[in-house]
Amino acid sequence: MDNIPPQLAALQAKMGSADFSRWTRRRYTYFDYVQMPPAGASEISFFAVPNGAADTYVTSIIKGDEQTNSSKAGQFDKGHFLINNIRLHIRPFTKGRQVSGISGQASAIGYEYRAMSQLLFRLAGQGVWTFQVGSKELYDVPQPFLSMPPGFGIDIHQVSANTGAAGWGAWFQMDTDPVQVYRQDPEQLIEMGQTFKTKVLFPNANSPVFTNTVNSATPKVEIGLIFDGMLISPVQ
Amino acid sequence: MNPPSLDQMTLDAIQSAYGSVDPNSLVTRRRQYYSFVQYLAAGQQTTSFFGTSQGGTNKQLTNLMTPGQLDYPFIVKSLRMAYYINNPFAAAWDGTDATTLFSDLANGLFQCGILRISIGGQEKLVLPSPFLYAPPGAGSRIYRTNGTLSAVGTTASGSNPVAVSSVIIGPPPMADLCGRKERAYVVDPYYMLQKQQSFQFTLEYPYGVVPVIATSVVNDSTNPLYVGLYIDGLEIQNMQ
Repeated sequence: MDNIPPQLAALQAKMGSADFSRWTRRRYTYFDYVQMPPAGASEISFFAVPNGAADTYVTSIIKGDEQTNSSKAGQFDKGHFLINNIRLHIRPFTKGRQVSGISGQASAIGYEYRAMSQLLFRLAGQGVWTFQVGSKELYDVPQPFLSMPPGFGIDIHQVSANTGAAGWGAWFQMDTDPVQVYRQDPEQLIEMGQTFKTKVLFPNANSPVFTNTVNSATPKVEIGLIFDGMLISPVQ
Repeated sequence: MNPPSLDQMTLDAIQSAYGSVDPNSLVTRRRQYYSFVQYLAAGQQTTSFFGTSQGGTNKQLTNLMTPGQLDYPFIVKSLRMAYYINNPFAAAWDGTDATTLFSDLANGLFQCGILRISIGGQEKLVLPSPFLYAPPGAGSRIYRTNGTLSAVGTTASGSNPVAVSSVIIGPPPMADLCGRKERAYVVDPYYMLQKQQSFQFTLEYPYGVVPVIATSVVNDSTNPLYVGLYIDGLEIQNMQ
């Protein structure tokens, strides 16, 4: 933490809104969802733009509270943060939020998503996750969608809806078992104001192309990076 | 502190001999406060939990006796999002997304949104995809069908019973929110809610409302869908 000039410390002690001599901690989750580049990409960056800014890859989408709870690019904005576990989450936009060729299709989920499901399965086997603090790369994790699954999802009993001559349905989901979540050991402290860069790289082959794969329309797919840990902040 | 009055001493003496409550001893017991709120088929941007008491609905939907207020001080240990619907199946399954709740579970309102928690005016947590991140974490119910035996086909004209038309509909897909207790979202450290403390638990879709996809299953009047939140923890009471 920065050294505080004595004059400021005196003012803060008298009139400040936070008591920097006492700290609390609580479980907290920082998350950042970005749009999967539909034409494929060699890398995807997370926490590169804050809440309120245009998405890095699909600029027509403005990131709101559902996309990220970080108000600063490349920083944890509410205090020091102790990273306990890290999760990647592939989340197709809900049907109603897709383009009209998908949202208006009667059997999009049960039938038309099958090609997209194959592409997502393929995506989940690719990539290397990197995490750089300042100029130092701290971590690189291979096949991060497998190594760092969300550990949540739904229980799928069966998928089978099909309404075509050669119809078959398919649905992709990442590992929902919380035991498989990637736990950082020891936990990694990122101090307030410390900047970081984090990406999923695709150095061997670009990520899959999703263009026109669902009923001749291009689906919107979000990729989320979630840091689950302890937020350490001064008492207010 | 003033010495107790004669009346107070008398009351204490009677209470210690015959009272039903010992104000000097506290007990804790596991309890769940729960609140289910109707989610309209057209979708809604914000759903606030614990705003209605049991008197305003029924015990299936909440066990809160006073809107927005707990009966006793409460230590919140875990959060569990859930849903409730009387009949999760459509009268007729025709292969479309509208005729199965699977659509909403796999690619609808249960996949996105945020849960925002504020206690005493301070935002404690914003959780993405809360139905997934903080699932019911209870027992699972399993639904499986006998596969293609239930397929419905239209026989082609003529005498060949094997040939079918181009329309083939398999058994309906099915899914549920995740069970198993280790999946519930554990808060750390636990939240302490005082009896009259203000708190807000809201399900929000800031990117835009998410209408129900399974419109042949959910009907706002005859088969409404409720979304809910359990706060699971310890209730603190005087010894009785």
